[in-house]
Order: sequence, then C-alpha cells, then structure tokens
Amino acid sequence: MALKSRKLYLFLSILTLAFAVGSASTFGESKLPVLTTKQDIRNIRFISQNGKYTYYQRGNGSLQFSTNYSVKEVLKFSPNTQYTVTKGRASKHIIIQVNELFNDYLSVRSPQKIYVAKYGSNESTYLADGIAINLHIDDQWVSFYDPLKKILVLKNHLNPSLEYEVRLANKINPYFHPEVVMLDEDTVLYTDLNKKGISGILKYSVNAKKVELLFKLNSPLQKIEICENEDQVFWLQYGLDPIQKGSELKSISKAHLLKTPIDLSKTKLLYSSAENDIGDLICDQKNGFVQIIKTYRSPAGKLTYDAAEIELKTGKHAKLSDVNFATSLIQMDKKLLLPYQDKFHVLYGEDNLTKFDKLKDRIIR
Amino acid sequence: MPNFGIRIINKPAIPFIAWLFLCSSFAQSSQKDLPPGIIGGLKNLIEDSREKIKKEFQNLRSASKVELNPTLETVKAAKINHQFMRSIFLHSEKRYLNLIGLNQCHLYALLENQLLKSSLGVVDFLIMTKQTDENFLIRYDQYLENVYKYKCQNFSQFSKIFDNQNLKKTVASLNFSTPKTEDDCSSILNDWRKNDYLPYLCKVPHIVDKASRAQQIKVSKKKLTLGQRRQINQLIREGDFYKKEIPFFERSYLKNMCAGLQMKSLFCEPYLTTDAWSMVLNGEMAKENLSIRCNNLFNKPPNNPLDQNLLIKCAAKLKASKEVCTTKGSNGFSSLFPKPNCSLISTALQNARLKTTYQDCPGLIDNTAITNIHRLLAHHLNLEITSTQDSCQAEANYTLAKLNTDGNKKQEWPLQICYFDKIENKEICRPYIPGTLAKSNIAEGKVVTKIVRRLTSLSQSSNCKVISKSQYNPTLLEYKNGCYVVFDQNNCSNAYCPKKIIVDEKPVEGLTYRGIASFDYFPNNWKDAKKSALMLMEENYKLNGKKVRNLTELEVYLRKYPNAVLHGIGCAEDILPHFFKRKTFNYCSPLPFIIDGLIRKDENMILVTRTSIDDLHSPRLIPWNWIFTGVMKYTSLHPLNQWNLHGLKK
Repeated sequence: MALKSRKLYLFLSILTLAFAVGSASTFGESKLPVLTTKQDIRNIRFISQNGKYTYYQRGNGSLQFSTNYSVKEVLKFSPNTQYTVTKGRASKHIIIQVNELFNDYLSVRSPQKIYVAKYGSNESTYLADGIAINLHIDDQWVSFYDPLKKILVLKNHLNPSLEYEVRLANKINPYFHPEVVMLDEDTVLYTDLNKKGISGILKYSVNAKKVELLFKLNSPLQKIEICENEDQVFWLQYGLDPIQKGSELKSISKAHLLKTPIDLSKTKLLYSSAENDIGDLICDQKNGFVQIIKTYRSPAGKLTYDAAEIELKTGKHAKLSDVNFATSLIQMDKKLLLPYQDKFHVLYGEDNLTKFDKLKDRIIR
Repeated sequence: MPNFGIRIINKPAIPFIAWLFLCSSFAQSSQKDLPPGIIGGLKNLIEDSREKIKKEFQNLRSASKVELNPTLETVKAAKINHQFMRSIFLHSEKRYLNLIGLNQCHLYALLENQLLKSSLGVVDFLIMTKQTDENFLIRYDQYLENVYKYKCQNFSQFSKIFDNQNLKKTVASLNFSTPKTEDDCSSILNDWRKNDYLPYLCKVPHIVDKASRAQQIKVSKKKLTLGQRRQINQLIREGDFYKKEIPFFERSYLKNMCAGLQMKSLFCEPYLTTDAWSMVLNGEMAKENLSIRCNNLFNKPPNNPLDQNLLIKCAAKLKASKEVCTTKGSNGFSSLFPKPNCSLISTALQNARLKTTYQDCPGLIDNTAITNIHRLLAHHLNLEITSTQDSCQAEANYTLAKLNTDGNKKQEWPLQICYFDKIENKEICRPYIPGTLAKSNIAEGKVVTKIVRRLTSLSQSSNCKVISKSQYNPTLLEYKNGCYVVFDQNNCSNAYCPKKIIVDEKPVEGLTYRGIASFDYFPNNWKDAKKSALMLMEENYKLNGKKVRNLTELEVYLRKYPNAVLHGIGCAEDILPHFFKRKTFNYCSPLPFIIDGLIRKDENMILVTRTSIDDLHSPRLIPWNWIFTGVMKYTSLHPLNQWNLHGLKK
C-alpha cells in the first residue's frame, strides 16, 4: 500500500515537473546545445571536460567518484546531504562543500564542512567550516569565509600550520561574503563593505599583516566582482539599482599589483555599459576574452539578460546565449555552462557526454 | 432690498459679493468717504461692518432681544439681517459660498453644519430683522428647525441621516470613487458639487481639522482658562468621534474633496499621483506601508503613532529622494543590503497584499524558513507582533514554536538550554526561544532566570535580562546587581550567538545552549510529510494550500483569492542574481520567498516578491522567469523532486 502510494506520488511529481517544463516552453526554446550525461544530471556535482571523471551524489548521503572503470565513495553523511565540488585552476585539487541540512535548515550563509581532495582521487581531508570557498596558487591555498564570525580565512591545506585570518569590516549586509584572489603567498586581494555599505577591493599583506584599500566604489548601490587569469586581475563593477546605472570592466596586471606602492593609473578600462549587468565574471575561459551575464535593453526599453563575451583588446561584446533571462554562468573544467530552468546550456565545451566512454579526449570546441 | 430669508441665489458667490458691495445701501449704515482705490474702500467697509455687527449683537444681547422659543410665524415673518448676511459672505470660505450659488438650501445646510462664519466667528446666533425693521437674535438651530418646516424640507431628513447615530451607516452607503484621469476627476467633483449631502459631508474634515488644532493648543499652551479647556476638550471629543465612526480612507477622501471645491487640484492630485506614499496618505493603502519606514527614518520605534504632518513630510521625502529607501528605513532590523529604491518599493507596494503591521529582522535569523513562516502566519492569522529590536528575533521563533506545539501533532522544540541539576543529580534541558518576549514562557530570559535560580542564590524578585554587549555597562549602577544574558550584537544569529550569563557582576557557568532550529518547510520525505511546516500550517490553522505550477495558474490564483499569497523555495542565485553567485555545478542556496502581487511590464510578468532575507517592507520586483528558474533548480535538487511553489489562503 505504502509502495503503491509512493509510486503514485512519484508519478505525480514527474507529472508536475513535466507541467513546469511545459510552461517553460512558453518562454521560447533556446537554440543552444544542452548538456547531456549518462548519469542523472541532478546528481552530478562535477564532470571533467572529457567525461572521464565524475563526482556525483546519491540520495543515501554519499558522494561518489567514478572513472570509466570504477566507482568509489568519497564521503558519506546523512541521507540527502548536498555536496558541491570545485576544481582548482591548477587541476591538482578539488574542494568539497558538505551541507547536511540542505533541505531543512534553509540558510544562505551558514558555514558548511569543507574537504580537500586530490583531483582524480576519492581520498579527502576535512579542512574547516565556511562558505565562499576557493583554491589558489597551484591549488595549495584555500580561502573561505566564516559568516558568523565575519572572518576571511586563508589556509595552506598542504601545510595547515600556515593559516591567516582577516576580519572583515562589513557590518551592514548580513549576507555579504568576500571575493578573493591570491596573487602570491604574501599578497591577497579581497572585497569588503565599509560602514556605509560601499564595496571596495583591499590588499592584505600576509607577512606584514597589513590591510590596504586599493579601490573603492562611489555608492553603496554598486557591487564589485574580481577574478584572475594568468597575468591579470579583472574587476567588474555594476549597479544594484536603477538609480545607480552602469557597469565597467577593468583590469590591471598582477605585476603592477605586486609592486609597492601600487600604481593604479595602470588600470585599464576594458568595457562599459549604461546598464546594470548581472556579472558572474569568468576570466580564464578563453585567452583575450572574459564572459559575463550582460543586461540588454531593446530600443523599446525592454530588458533581457544573456551571456556575453567581451574581447579584451577592443571592448567589443558578443551575445553568447538566447534565453533572455539568464541568471548565472559557471565554469566546469573548461566547459562554460549557462544554467537555465531545468537545463544546463553549453556555451563552450562538449555538450554530449553520454558517448565519452568510447571516445578519447576531444579538442575543445 | 434683497430678502435673504427666501431669496433664490443662483449665481456664483463672488460676483454676488461684489454686487453686495456695489449696489446696496443699508438701513442702519451711513456712507463714509472712502480712501482712493478699491482695496482701501473694501478694507474700510469690512472694518466698518465688523464694528457695526459687533455693536448690534451686543446691544441685542444686553437688551435681551433673544428669541428663546421662536415660532414658525416669527421665523417666517423675519429675514436674516442684511448686514449680518453680508458679514457671512465676507468671512466664510469661498468653497462653501460657491455651494449656495448652486442650491439656496445649501445656505441652511451650511449654517446647520456650522461651516459659515460672520465677523463674530462661527454662526451660533443669527441677527434677524422683523418687518418693522426691528432686530432680534435667534439660535441657528432653532431658526433652521422652523425654516425646514416650510422650505428645503428634504434637508431636515438629511439632518437625521447625518446625526451621530446614523452617520457611520450613511457614510458607508456612499460611493467614494477615486479618479483615474483628469477628466474623470472633474466629472467626479462636479457630481459631488450637485450632491445635497455635501455640507453634511464637509462637516467631517472641518471638525477633524478643528479637533487637531485644539489638540495642538492643548499641548502647547499650558495657561488655559477652565472655559477654554472645556471648549478644547469638547472639540477633541468631537474629532475623536468622527475618527472612530468614519474610516481613514473616507475621512481623507472627504478632506480632499471638500478642499477640491475651491481648487480642483486639491482633490485630483492626491488620487492621480501614482505613488504608494500618497495612497497611504489618502487612506487607499494601509498606513503601516509608510509609517514603519518613516518612524525608522525619524529614529522612532516602528509602532509609534506618527502625526499626520510628519507622515506628509516623510512621504514627500521618499518621493523626492528615491535613494533614501535603499540604505535607510529599517535600521536596527537587519536584512539584505541594499534595498530597492523608494520608487520601486512604491510600485511593488501598490500591487502587494501581504499584511505587514510589524517589523521583523531576517538578518538575525539563520534559518530563513522561520522568517517566511512568521510572515505567512502573521498575514493569515492577523498575529499581534511586537516590533522592537529586542523582540523581533524572538517573535519569529515564537511563531514557529507555536506552529509546532499548536494542534494535534505536537513537535519537540529543538532549542534547549541544559544544565546539571545538583539536587536531581542529572542534566536537565529546558526548551527556549532566543531573545526577549514577554508573551512567551519559554523566552530565553525567563528560562535562564529559572535555571540561574537553581544554580545560584538569585532572588525571586530578580529576572535575567537578555541584552547586547553595547547595552551592558558594569560601570553603571543598574548593572551592578541582577542577572544579565549578554551577547555581541555584531556576532549573533540564531545559529551562532555566544553568550555570557552574569549575576551580580560575576559570570555564571554551567549553562549550555543546544539544538538547531531545523525542520522541513515543504515535505522532504514521505514518512514525515505531515510534520512539515506546510502541512502543519494547513492543518493547525485551517489554511488551504495549492501547488502553482505556471504563470497562468499564478495569475488566476491571485485574481481569484484577494487575500491569498504564494510562497515557495528557489535558489537565491536565480532569484537574486545580482547578490548571489553560482560558482559550481548544481549549486543552490535555497531561499524561501513570498509572492503577493503581480505586475505586467512590456510582455513580461514581474512578481512582487519578499524573500526571507529581505526587509519585510521593501518588496522586490523580480521577473517571473527568474523565480521560475530558481524554483525549478531547487526542485531538481529536492529529495522528492517536488515542485515548491504554493498558493496559501485562509
């Protein structure tokens, strides 16, 4: 009886989802390719560009690692634990976030367990609790934020005695977390809010334990995102409200940032827009280009939001997607994805990962 | 000589007044040489007239020429003294005089409602002239009682339907239509001008205004005679009666309409202005939509009764400086920063329906589901909620605790304070809700008091107070003795809030805070589905839920049920993409939200959305497509793959 009702409920759930997907079609179908995988895509937490490595979670609370030939358990917690897997830029390590209370403690800021593992391995080590986690400098350093104590932590996971804390100034936005770029073992750039809520980029010198304001926005109604590629640091600033309209993308070389004093006149303006872009700045997908979610305004004044690529040399931008209401852009092992409704549209990289068992690594599109 | 007792006046008042000055010669007046220029002439005439009226009135009084029991014949045979009538025309407001031009009976109705003035002030007594040219005084109400017997009879009926017993019912039966366009406004105003109820209706704002001025005098002037004090109290009582009997919207409408009789824009502008703040001032929207924000801007507690003049000033400020709302207006009640600008909030509020008579503090509550449930139940159950910085966190937790303990399916409350009881020789844990809340027996302060009494010699008369680190100042005498639970306001939320318990300046050890307020908002598994907050809300409080799967259903639902709202859970990265960034595959920060309005813009649907981390009074306008993607992404990660957008109605 219970089984029967469960089946019925499952059927209704599928029907509900089908309805929802049906209504999605009223927005107009995108022509972009959609990521397809052998696994149920909802369980996947990371899949390599060639489909060789997959990290996926199961309802019983375990995180599994599969290669073409084997499946191993990486972690196991209570049923329905939510995992997040991020690979470092050096492709040497991954970090795993564990949220055991994903469905019954709905917090956008509660710290989660952080584990580190070698990329391609199922062995992981507990590191700390926090959010906004990133790997830096050859994947040796981890930065994370403790939103309850309002502390940014920098930790060398290979040498845990190397750990530094920076207390953030933000007192105004309980949901703020910093963006971090580590230039070298002594120089860290991060974002913070001052007492008026104005965003800025600060430079933390680890050895000197000194914080220096590099750059500050004009208004609390603006936000800043930072990211890096091999030799440049980029920041995108945009308004959060129509009364503070406009977006700007700027860059400065890492070499300049490491000099003392820093000469900010070397900063280059790469792109500007009269609209408030959504951002989600991606800086190391393709040489000479960055990608963002850009806000477009039609001549009639209608706003749409789509992925766009900005050429660094010219500042020219090209639309990469056609969904009109894009919200985010993610990078997964050189694949650039646009999550939209129940799909992941593929902007760069192979979209069909169902056939990779038989194929060798392919050249990135 | 014109006989005002029976004369039909069918011209606008102003030419008529001019005519009064230019062509009349009066039985008891003597023409003086006038200074050059018409203004000088008018000035002298007015002063001359005032003196004469005053003198005549005093003479009649001292000679006891007051008709105390007037008969119909006496009234019929006399007429209002010409000079007195002229004085009324000189000293009454033009908007009321204009009404007489439309219908002579309005003269009597205006007298009846004491809307006319002579040089002596409000007309209580009329100077009448007999056929023999002899003058006498008569009370206005006695005069009208007799007049209505032989003319303007229907006005005596109006007097009845507007008396204190019937006023409320009569006003409720009238249609106070608000204009949508300039033409519409002219037409509505013209209709009102022709309405014979007008003098009775204009009495309402007139009295309320007088009462408000009386109140100011009472507060500002300390030296008042007994008589003045009595008169002032009488006026305040009358004003209070009207405020009680007539709802704010109707009162405000009448004020605007009666002002508009003189200048059309005074009626039209408030209704043709399309911001929420003006609508609140007009009574078209609930007052708390403006007052809570303004109180905060004026550094006053959220429920402070703000004076109408301050509200008007505040509304003007919000209209002129849109950016004020982005950073101000909810200080001390932590939430997502920055908030939308005043113009966006105004648009959202005009299309919203959530009841928001209180202020909450989402930034102090980690499990955002608690805030959402608190807001939903406050809307549907009209909960009485205190709105102080000390109690806002406890109020939300209290709502959740009640949801768990009301009804048949009692749940164990997860938050507990534990201690080792030496008498019972075992660890004892007591449920608590964080913060201070007088109405709850399990409020943290009360629970800590009980425990501290077991552990120390705290007297029965002392109670533990939960206070912030900044409040606790042991150098002050009041903190030398007593019990305090001290927390760091900059480092405290539901999930993490280290506290020190101090009794008579000494720390008390041995109390441990345990538990986390985790629960299923929507069912997360089959076995415990009935324990989810959704099911408890439906079962305990007889609320009706319905899954809403697409935009059409959403539109129909909101249209069909005027008090219903929608609630759901979606990924913050899709609902608030400017604030939350999705960095990895299948990443989602589940964020509960309430939708309480819908706006069509271009071809898109924009939803009035209150996410559970946003200030309650600052709804955001979010495209349906973002909400849809957010809900869908969360659905795909949900253990039952359930669609989590529901309607909820009483």
